[in-house]
Amino acid sequence: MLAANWHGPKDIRLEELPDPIEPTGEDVLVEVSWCGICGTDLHEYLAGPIFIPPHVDEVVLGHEFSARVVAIGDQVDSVAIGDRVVVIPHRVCRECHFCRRLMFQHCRNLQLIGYTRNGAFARFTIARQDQLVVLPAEIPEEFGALVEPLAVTFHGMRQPGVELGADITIIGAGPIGLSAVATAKAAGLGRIYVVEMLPQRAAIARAMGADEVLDPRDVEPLAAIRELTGGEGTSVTMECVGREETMDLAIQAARPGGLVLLAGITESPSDVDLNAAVRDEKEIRGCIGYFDGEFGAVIELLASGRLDPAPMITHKLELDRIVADGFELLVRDRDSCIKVLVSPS
Amino acid sequence: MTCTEIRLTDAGLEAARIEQPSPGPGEVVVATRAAIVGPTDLEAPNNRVICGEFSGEIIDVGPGVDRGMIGTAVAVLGFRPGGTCDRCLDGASTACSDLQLRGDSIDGGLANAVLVGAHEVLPLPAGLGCEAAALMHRLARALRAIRRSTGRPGDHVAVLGGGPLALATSLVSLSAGFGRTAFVHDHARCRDAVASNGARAVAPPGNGAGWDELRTWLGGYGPDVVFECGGTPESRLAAIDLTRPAGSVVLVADDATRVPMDINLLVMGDKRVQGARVYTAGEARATLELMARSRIKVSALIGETVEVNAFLAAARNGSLQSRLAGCEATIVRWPRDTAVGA
Repeated sequence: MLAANWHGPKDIRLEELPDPIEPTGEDVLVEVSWCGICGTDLHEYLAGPIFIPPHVDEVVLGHEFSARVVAIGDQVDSVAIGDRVVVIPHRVCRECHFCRRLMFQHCRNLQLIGYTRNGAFARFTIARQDQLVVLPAEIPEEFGALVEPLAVTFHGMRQPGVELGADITIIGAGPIGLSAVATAKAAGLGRIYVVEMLPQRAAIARAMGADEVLDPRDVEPLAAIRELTGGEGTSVTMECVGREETMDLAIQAARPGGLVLLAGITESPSDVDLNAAVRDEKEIRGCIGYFDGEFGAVIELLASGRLDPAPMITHKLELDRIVADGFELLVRDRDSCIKVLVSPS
Repeated sequence: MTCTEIRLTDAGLEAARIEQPSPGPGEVVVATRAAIVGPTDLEAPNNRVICGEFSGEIIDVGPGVDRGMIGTAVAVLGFRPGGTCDRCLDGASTACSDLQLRGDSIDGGLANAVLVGAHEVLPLPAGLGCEAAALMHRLARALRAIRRSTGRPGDHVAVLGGGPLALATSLVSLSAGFGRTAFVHDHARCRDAVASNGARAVAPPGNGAGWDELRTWLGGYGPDVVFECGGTPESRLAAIDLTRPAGSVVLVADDATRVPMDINLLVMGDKRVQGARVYTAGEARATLELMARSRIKVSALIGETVEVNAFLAAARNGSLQSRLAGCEATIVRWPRDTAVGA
């Protein structure tokens, strides 16, 4: 099968790899329908290995995907051949300290499809049955490939302190920022303010439900947010960029007693004003990953129409164009290129 | 009628006789019976009545206040919210934008007639005296830190820091039903006091393997909650590093220094940082109840108890600073009918 195989920074090769062997036990062989290029994939492409373990020489990337079940192991009882599914990338040990406490995302022996195991930028991949969530017929498979990034921000919207009707500032309108807009709206938050300077991203944010998009080239964002909120700041802020200045903005733009969600990954150490937590009783919380059940909840919201990620899909292409028209496009054109979906089949 | 108050001036601590204040509507006058003095009181703004932590007896009430309160022993909240910001109107006055701290931004309690709002005093439960009750403020801060944390009975916790707040937090945490409690503190006497109450107390391990050993003792992956009371960037960073994945850090000490850190420690670790600055009246009441029931071992918090005149004499002869250096509280007693400054 053709696969996009990562060998190092700027070295993703389209290679013919053997098809996976027939699944055994609880494993399931799936044929990938659509797989999105994640911002983390882009980090791996540009500067990896980051999530890829240092000892791994090569791995097929791709972890945001929908698929169809084509073969099952002898102990599989939760899916059947032909099922349309979304795959949770976490393959957990179910035995460690954290798994025993149902904190699977912190599994000490965590394996990740697309980083530690071959992923979905290939026609076939293997997952265990507990990683699969069936996709209802009314949800397009393209949307199924967006369940993973939507689950990341939906996890944020489920945190204590994020309340019905509360206002939120979302910093950055890339794929995660836009997912935050969509899930904030679906979760019943009140006014949604977005800080973004790229015009097409700003337009998509508005289309997805942002009430105001603040361009830092036109306005001083902190002053603007405070003015829009009677001087207080918003109840929740979510940082989706991963830079020191945007982290500062997220902390400052939260009202006293508010919640700061940090979803952006930084590339270098930062100076952080942690004292805002004491001075104003703000809570600063890392926000990464999701609980398994949150995939199902996102699928329910998609099925009901309360979550519409369609504006995020800006490009769809075949696997053989993934480097030139996928990764390189994301590097070249950050504004108009939001979510690239790749079809390996 | 006159009264005496002790202010910090350019010339040092000075006792002055003034007219006893008359309470307005909703106000009471408290005659302080016990106040806590620490090193920060000697850094108060000029001409401020010092001491944010005190208790006493109500000696007068204003219109609208039950006269039956006269003679009641009370603890006094150590701060005053502005009452008009959105946080206060939402009932979250601990995050008030205009919060004032007694003995710092407003006058404190080292006086035998202190004017406060009737809603700012809390009657002492039976069995609790004024001297112990003067410790309510620091213990209530600790109680709020614990309540704000994600810590639940049975969880493992650590308390980091080198001052009195760390000592108070560790003693309150020992009443919270936590599993293992580690206390990382500079002072051997404080460590002994906390260890004798059931915690594992160690000196700060620096950059050595001691942190790993502590992490192992606290469940293998670090504590569920770390209460950071040191306030330094190093201590805050150690707290974030020490706590387990998806654990929480509660910052109890106030310090404006920015922390140079890899923010991915928070993001990838799914960790949270919360703060606790002051407390609600309800939390103060709960603290007093725990103290009255001896659920919090307050004796470990008390260093020296001095009469107010002896305290003033120490201030005048230059011996006060060294006497306030420890983590344990120095309590100034102000008995009824004491002639001060004579």
